[in-house]
Amino acid sequence: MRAPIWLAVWVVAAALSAAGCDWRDFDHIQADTPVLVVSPPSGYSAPSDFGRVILPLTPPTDGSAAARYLGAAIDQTGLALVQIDAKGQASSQNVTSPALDNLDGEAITAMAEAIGGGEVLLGSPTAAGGSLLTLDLTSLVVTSFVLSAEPQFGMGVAAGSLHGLGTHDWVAVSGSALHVFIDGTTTDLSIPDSAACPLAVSTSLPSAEQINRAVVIGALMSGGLQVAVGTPVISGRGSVSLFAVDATATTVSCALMLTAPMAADSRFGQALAIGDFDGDGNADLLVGAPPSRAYLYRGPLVAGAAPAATITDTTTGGDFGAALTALNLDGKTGDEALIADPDATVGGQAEAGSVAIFTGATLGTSMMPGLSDHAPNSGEVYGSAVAALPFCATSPCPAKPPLLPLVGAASEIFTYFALGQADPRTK
Amino acid sequence: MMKAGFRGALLLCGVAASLGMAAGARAGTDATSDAGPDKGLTEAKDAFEAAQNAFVRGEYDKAAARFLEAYEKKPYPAFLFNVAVSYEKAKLLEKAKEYFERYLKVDPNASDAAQVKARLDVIAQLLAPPPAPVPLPAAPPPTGAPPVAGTAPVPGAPVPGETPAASAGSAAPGSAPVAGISPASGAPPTAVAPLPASAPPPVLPDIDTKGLIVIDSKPQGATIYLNDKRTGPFGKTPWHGSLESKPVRLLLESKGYKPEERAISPRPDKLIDVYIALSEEHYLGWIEIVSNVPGADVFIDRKDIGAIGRTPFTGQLKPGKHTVYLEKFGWQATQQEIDVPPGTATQHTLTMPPSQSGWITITGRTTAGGRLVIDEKFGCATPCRAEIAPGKHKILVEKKGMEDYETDLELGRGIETAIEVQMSPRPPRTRAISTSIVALVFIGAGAYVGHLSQQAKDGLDSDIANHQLIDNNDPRFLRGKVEAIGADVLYGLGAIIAATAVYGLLEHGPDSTGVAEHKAISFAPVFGPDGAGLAFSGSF
Repeated sequence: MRAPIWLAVWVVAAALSAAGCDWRDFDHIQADTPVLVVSPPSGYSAPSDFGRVILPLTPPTDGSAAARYLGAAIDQTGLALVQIDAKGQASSQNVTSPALDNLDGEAITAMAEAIGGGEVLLGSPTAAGGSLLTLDLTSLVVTSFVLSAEPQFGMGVAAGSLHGLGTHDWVAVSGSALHVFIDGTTTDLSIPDSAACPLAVSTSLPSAEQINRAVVIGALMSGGLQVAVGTPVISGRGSVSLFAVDATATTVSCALMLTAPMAADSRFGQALAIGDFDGDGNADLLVGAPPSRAYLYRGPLVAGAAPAATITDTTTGGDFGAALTALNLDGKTGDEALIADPDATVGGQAEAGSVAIFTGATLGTSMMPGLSDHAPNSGEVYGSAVAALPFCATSPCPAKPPLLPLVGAASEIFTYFALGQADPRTK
Repeated sequence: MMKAGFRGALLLCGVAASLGMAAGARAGTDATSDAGPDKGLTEAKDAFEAAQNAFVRGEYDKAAARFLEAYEKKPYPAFLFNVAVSYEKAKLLEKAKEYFERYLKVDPNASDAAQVKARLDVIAQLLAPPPAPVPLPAAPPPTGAPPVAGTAPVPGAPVPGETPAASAGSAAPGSAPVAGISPASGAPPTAVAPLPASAPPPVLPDIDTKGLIVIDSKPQGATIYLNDKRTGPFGKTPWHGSLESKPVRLLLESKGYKPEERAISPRPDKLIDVYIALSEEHYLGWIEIVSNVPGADVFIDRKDIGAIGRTPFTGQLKPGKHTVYLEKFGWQATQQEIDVPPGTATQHTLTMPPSQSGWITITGRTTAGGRLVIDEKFGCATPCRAEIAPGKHKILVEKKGMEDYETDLELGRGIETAIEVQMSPRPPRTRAISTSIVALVFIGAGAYVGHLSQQAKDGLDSDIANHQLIDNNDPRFLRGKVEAIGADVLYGLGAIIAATAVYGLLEHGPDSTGVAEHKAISFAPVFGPDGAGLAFSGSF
């Protein structure tokens, strides 16, 4: 009787060994894919609303993660922190806090990280006002910072050391004014909408165009940092206003206004990005003018400056320029521009979205192919947000860590590890 | 060569037999229908038939005369017997007595001699003188009283001492009274007195004439067998006598002549004359094969057609060289080349030494249709007995659908080992086969799903190698992983089911069993009135 039993065991063993199909192979391949897609964590309040507002964060100094970023929902309160280790494996956690609960479901549609990291300013605008909150990245505690009855208060936020003292200053934009909170305090230096530097946005703008209003801080003009705010309009020419902040005098003044070069560019200023595209050491300003153009303004900007280049998307029905970012992908002098079209049709999928990459001093060269979801889905709106994610595979983090394209979609956020430069992940 | 030679012998034997049968048929026809060359026999036969006709008509005295005429033509004792019977029927007891006595004189060893003698005694009593006279009773003697001895009865009148039934038909009413016998009218009695009432008259049992069988042959002296040679010789030609009234087959055999057969149906009122002219068999030789072992199977030239007889064996054989084989259990098979000359009788003696082998006998009802394998060589189809050399042997009894029975035996010389084998049915393989098919389906499905998984993996590897920006959420990861796990599960299930099927195929039922019994066989010389030989005995 024993012989048949042993024979049966051998047959089983031989069959299993002959199967030769190890499901773990897929895990190995999955861990090494060039693109990391992160979905919202469990407990996240809006699983299908995660990647339209994203904020790359400075990697933690303790080396606990190689990179991290925030993703927020635009239709309800929802905030999650995603951390990526040196091998490129992501973990995410839902950010919960009583302060967020106090938002009564209002979405956080604008985020900005303080200089040096460690803290994030969150903007939660409403039609009747808005609030600013701060998030401690160490403890993930959210604290209410400022409440305002000013409509759309917090629809755009930024952070920078505007007064040159090394401490961070918060910038918040409402539907009609710019507010600067010096040294992160509630000392509010504000400037209202004006003809010289328009700030007013109509509440009639499509809601998608009102979220995460474009506000950037950079040395766009000679003499310190400026705050650039995009102001799209329902009709006519949109504009970008640059404001100078005098911390000593505690004043904010209109420094410059860029008006859409073409009459049809009502959404000129929908998105802004600062980069050194020509590699001359000066910050250049890239202005998105959906649905089909983006303009490159070479810095330093001066009054009456004309765009150095116009990047035009010839396809119709898209939303080219709705999101922008600048980062150096190829390692060569000069940044590349990532210009998103979240409404682009890809692979026959409407509103699947794509991101085009342009390089060269005038961004005249398109890196083909652009970015899109490898398996695009209709309504995915890939490219709703684009950003540059610093990735520090080693600790301490180098002064200029590699920047990885970070692309948000309706419910996922894509991180590209092997696009142009060498894959920074450790194997 | 032997087969060809034997075929030739058979062919010639067949031709010779055909010729012999034709000759025999002609001779038989002559003998039976034309009464052969014996004129006296023919005349006797005619007289016999005339006598029988008279006898049937009740003309007994005439019948007696005709039987006597037949006897004068051919002095067969049966004719005298029939004469006596006819006279007895004719109430001529003196005559009857005379011819019964002549019958016994001519054929004192007749098979019915004792009965005839007893009949003569009864006749003698009936013919004896009456006892001393006694006064006649007042009453007249009863009608039908026995006639006085010495008176001649009227034909058809009751014979003294004969049963009423036998004489009832003759005692016709109104017949004339016999002289000397007191009629019923009351005639005065004279010298005749009735038998004492206390001593009943002797009774003659009913009797009939004898049929006759006359068997003759050319040449005379042929051995006659009745029905079968096994009953031994019945007589030799010429032969005449009576046989029971039932069909019988006559076999005539004479050395140098072809044997002949006839079927006859003896009857008491018939004379059957069988005359057979035997045809000479100069072509064939006559052999007699004897052995020290009676009853051994005799084979001539080839064994595959079976034994043609047993020792001692006699028969005709085509002239030439032949091989004689003798076989019998317990004895070593023997063979001998013999030379058969044509038309000559030869005797051949073959000696069979006791066997030096052992035997194994497989019995058991369940072994029917199986086979015995000894040391991996076919032994015989079970149940059977096989001769086997002494020593250790591996015994295997196998049968389809049954578990094998295996054992190791050490057999001695002259030992018969009988094994009663009880074979156990082997579990049916149908379920195992169906399980195997299911296993194959599972394994096949696993192979297919595994192939799909491999396709997904190959696609991913290819995309990565081609710098395609695939992400970790690519649907091929989940699908491929599910397919890989599914393939593993299917393989595993298939393997388990296959193992079950293999187990089922190799599964044994209860072991077949056997009970061995050893029998020592010995031989001893014996001597008897019929000869000497070896006796077989066994100790069990």
